[in-house]
Amino acid sequence: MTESASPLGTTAFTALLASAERAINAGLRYDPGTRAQLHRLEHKTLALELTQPHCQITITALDGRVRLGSYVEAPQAQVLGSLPDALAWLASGDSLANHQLEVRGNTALLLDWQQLVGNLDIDWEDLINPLLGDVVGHAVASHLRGLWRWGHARRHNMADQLVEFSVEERQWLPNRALFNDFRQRNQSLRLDIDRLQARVTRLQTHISEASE
Amino acid sequence: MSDDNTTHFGYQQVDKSAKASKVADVFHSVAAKYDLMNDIMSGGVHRIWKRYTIEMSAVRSGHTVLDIAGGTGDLSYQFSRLVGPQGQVVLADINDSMLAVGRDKLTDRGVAGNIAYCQADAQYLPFPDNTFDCITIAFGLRNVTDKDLALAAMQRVLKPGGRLLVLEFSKPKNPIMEKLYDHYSFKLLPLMGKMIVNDSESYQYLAESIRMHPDQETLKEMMSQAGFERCDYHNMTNGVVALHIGLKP
Repeated sequence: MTESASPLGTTAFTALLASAERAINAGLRYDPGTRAQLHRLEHKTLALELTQPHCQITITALDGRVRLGSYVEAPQAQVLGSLPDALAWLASGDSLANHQLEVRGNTALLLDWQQLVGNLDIDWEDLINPLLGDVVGHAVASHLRGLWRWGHARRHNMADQLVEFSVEERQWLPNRALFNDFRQRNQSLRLDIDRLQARVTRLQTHISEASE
Repeated sequence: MSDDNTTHFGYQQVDKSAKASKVADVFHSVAAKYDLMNDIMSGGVHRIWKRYTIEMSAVRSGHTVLDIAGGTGDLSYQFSRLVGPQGQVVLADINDSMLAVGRDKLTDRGVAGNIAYCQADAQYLPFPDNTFDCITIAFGLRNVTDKDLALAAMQRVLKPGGRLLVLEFSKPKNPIMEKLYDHYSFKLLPLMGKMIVNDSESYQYLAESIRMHPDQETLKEMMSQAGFERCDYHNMTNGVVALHIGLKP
């Protein structure tokens, strides 16, 4: 018997993917630009081999929709790593070198998917106006758009800001120069101890030979 | 099966030649409300089981797929999208009522061009050797009179390297789950059948036929005996349903 595709169990995991797929495609209905870009990726599959939690998620563009799955025979590209790392990379627009991820296959496809996620631009008015009317809908949509852009901008420089806050403002952590100096001193001390240990061992050998 | 001339129809022993017509009567009776009953009986989970089957089929653009006992066409619809205009899907069912419902449903959903419909007995598939890249049979094998004969026929019409997927009710792995499942199958299911399609006998047969169907390991062994390689199965919903997969060497 083959083990379940995820720790959740096959049925629950498949149901979860189906729900996520429905939500993504519902969102894409209000972003015709991204939907149009999906056609370039038709029938091409990106597989996320996740280590934490241990499972596989496949992303395929099919008929102008995103299809999520847990198995594909021959993905065009594979990303191996943890789920937070993979999601952070997809959403950030960063280079892969800045993330703890391993990549196999067609890297151009990875960049295409990353670009697609980065260019998401949901037409909030189209989504909200039928429910709230044009005036209220526009006001709510403007706020949502602002929140979306703010989140997007924060996501890009969140790591940089966190480092600056921890190191410069709060001084919880040493800066890079201090840390490198400490590391070098630590390394020298370790080598000195190793040499001293070797001398002590040699001295003990001499003493034991002399006493015999 | 007790001897060469009889087989089971639920818990009854019937003549082999009589089983097909008895099964046909069951499906003629439920065909019109088959999808509705499936949704109600499984709480919609049958869609998840089928979705996973489609993922594991590894069907892609240009493939040729045979959906045996395809009934109302849930799998065929998805396969038709996956294989694209270069591929071909054959929806086969022994029961003309089920096939008619499936054909009407798919036509209404705009599926055309890469799909064909065929009334066929799974034991005697009317296709040349080495025709299909993938064959699926979802919730159909337990109704087949001679399962070994059907598996051999599927092996024959699959291309070398082709994949057979058998989605079928199986044996729950947890004893508590098994008790609950028994209670549900034999008490609630016929009642629901009576209320919705005014036919409790068909759903009594459904429950009995599930119990008479080979368990996971037995079916895996039967597939190996039929000539499939790398046979394996995936339990779903604690073994209530299992997806068996085998490759033609």
